[in-house]
Amino acid sequence: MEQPLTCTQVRGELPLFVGADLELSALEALAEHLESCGACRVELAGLDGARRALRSVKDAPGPTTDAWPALRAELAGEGRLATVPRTSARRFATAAAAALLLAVGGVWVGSRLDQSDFFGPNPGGGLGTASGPGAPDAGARPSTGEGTASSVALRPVETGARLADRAVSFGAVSLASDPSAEAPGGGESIPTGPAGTLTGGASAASSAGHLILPPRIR
Amino acid sequence: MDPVPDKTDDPRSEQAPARPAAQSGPEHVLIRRAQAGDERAFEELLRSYEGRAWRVVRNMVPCDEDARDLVQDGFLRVFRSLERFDFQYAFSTWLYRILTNLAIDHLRRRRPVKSTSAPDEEDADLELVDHDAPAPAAAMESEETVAEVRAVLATLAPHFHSVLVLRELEGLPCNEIAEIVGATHVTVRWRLHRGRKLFQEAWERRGSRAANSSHPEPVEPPVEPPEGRPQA
Repeated sequence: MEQPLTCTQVRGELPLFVGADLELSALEALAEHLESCGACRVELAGLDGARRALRSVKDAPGPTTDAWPALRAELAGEGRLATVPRTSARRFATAAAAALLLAVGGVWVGSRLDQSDFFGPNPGGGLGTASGPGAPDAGARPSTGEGTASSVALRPVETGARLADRAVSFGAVSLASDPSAEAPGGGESIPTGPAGTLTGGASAASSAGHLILPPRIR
Repeated sequence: MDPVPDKTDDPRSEQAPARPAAQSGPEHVLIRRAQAGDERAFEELLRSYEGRAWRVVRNMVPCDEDARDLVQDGFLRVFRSLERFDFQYAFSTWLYRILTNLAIDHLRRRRPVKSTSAPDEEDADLELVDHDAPAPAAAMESEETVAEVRAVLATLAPHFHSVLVLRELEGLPCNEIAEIVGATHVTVRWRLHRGRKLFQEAWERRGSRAANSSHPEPVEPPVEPPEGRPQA
């Protein structure tokens, strides 16, 4: 049979007992002694009170400043942050998509405008049924060597083409103004789109025109 | 350029046996992303641990400003050494270890150390008493209590102080504290035992001084035996 613990033994273990930092068997033995020993309970109460005070610091407010900006600056200064530049291909794709969208939009808007200009008084008329006398600027446009009806019919397409040219030029300008958008080899080659190879700058604009305009417009 | 590897920064320098890391999965992914220089991963790691880091350091050093600088320094060391992180250890253990060492170094630099043992003994037993600190009021507000507790903690030697903070305030188990402070499990239990007793004595002394504030008497720090005789 085990000897009961003495007060000296118990008090020697109380600093660990108070935080339950003893083996289960030791905890049980001490608890048994404490049940019958008021003096040791007083010792335990003193330790417990101090421990409660100590643990009240747990609820103290946290940091009041954001550490990240200063840390980020340090890490960036040491070159530890990877830069993730937008690739030239990605930039080109964005510009091309914007150009295509504008071109399609331009064609659509142009067709609507022409409908109202030429066929407004004659709502029943369509593009294919337009006739020469109704076209107010038919004579002002450079002659294509074709009949009036075909000129009128192609006009919306041309309006859209101008918008497309501008859009593509805009894209080309934005590419040209961004040094990171250059081709890896430093040349002017720009990745191809689905409709053919573009060569950057003005040629990109004219080539983009090929994508949209019927050959006879050019 | 990488700094000269610091032993305290390197989780592989731990004396504790290898064990499965407490965290895995998402945190490991985050660490790998940070190793690759992903800025958001660095920030997420910081956000995950800055509260705990702040608490540990703030409860070891006397003012917010020092704590802020040490926390920043700690994270910077961690991030600089992240490529050497050993995934068999918990990230938190490594971070706590760096922060605790920084705080202890800061305390030792900041104030004179009163040692009762040989000067080259690493864990010399220390006790510092701030006689000019204000006495506790009868009914303390929460903020005042926090300040008082920190003042009493500051009178303890750093190795007791750090173990008390990690165990009582962070709730870490003794074996993890052993890894953090680079000591054996038995030594940590000994420091916890002595630290609780010393804290209680200092806490009650302050209460007595407050009660007898009209007749203050100088309090001599008790002579503590040097550490190194842990009770098994």
